[in-house]
Amino acid sequence: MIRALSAAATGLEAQQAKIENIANDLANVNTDGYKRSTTEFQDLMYETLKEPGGSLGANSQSPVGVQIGMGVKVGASHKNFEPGPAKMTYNPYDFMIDGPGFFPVQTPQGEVAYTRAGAFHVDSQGILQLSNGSKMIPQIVVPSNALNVAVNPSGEVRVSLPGAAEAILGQIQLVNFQNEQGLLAMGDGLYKVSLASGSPILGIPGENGMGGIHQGALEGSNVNVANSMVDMITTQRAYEMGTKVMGVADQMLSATVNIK
Amino acid sequence: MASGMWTAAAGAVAQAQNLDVIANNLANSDTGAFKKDTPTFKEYLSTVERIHGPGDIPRGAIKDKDLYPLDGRDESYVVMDGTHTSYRQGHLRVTQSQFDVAMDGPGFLEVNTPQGVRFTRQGSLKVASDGRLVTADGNPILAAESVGVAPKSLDLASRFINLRDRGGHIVINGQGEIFSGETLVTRLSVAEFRDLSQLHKIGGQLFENKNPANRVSPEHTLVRQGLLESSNVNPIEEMTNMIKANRLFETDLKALKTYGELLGKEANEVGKL
Repeated sequence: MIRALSAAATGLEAQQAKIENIANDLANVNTDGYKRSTTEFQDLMYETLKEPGGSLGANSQSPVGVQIGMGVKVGASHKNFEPGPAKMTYNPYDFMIDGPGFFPVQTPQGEVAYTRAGAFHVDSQGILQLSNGSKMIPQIVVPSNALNVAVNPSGEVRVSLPGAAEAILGQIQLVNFQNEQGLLAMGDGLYKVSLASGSPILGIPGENGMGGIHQGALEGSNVNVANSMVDMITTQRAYEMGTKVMGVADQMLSATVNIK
Repeated sequence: MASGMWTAAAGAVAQAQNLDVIANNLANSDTGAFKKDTPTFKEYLSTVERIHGPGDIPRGAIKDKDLYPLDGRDESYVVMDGTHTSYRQGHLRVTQSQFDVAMDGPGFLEVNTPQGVRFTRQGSLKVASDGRLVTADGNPILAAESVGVAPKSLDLASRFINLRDRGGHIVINGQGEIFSGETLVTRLSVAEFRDLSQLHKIGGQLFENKNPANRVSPEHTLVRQGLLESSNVNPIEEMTNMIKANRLFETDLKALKTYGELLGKEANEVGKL
């Protein structure tokens, strides 16, 4: 019965972790470039009270054993990189990746990070950067007298200057990963490379399976509100059932204590 | 008389173990591809456990009661005899993820763990940083042994599925064949078993097969991409079983208490003048 109590407790812990992830997903339902998380559960080890297949006598074996499980744990919690819906913003510095890929950026702390939230801005020097100050790699500087900035699907940034022909400002590069689910989420829509993700594979947009660039659009959050709400309901009920099991185990223990 | 007390105690212990199993099932009601356990109970007769000797032969004329011996049968206990794992398929949930596969049918995926080959139906697969197809725990998924290559090769590493540089879109068909674009990469190793009850549950939705002869080639399993199997625990059934276990436990305790009161009377009131 103590096993029942602790198995129920592991259930509460796991369901709580899932609710926390769902809460974070629902809070980010309008965050551009946000990727929803998936929580996967695994059953814990089993205590084998009786080995299946044990001998019961000549030529007979017990067909089943007695195995009692210890409960559940969160086996994995990872981001789901399914594409989000496109949102037209008509802002020349908003870029959406149509397909796989991440923009490499350098954070103000000097670290290299990767993002799919391509809402770029220019600072006072004309350097293309995210709202948190992370600069695009390679650095692209838009001249102050630029009239029109155009980015084509393969990532070439062209600018027209007064009284001059169109000039190429730079080339936007994308990176991809062998295992994007292994990336570490840093917040601010940024991801960091980890041992599990593999090293970044650099590429040109639209080539070798990389997505193309769409100027004037942003990728919306890929949270599906209906699915998240259904998940929330089932998780809450599973949590409640765990507490019920705890209550019953407690009742049985108290009945045992009060027998005399 | 006190022996009846042990019968009641045996009942209470069995129901407590029953609750342990129910608690584990309910804790895993949302665990992908989890297979629930059902406990079974066995009547345990002291007479059956006792070897009959010549002393059991009645002396003198045979009476009615010798034909219907009660020896020990009035003292039956209960023990938890086994936990049966129900391999009934959980419902398949659409995830649209290209590395999610559900086994539609009785098959299992073959997984290489540090402890040896194990089997799982949890098809939420991942690609590791080196491009290998792995489970969420990082254990590599094995490909089917190709015909012609030395059969039953012990070199499991040669059967790892490497999707490095395959990029883009991966298609897995009903037979478990993995395609990258138009090219056939390899085929998932799907195993079926003659007798599922011989599988040993080891946690993490993994199963161990200790009898190689039990494994048969897959014939009734369809691999479905973009779906995941849910837990086959039915919360209504488990909650009902829990209420039942709770009440039976209380009944056993009531009997135990009654025996305790009887013993108390025996000690203190019988023989009082």
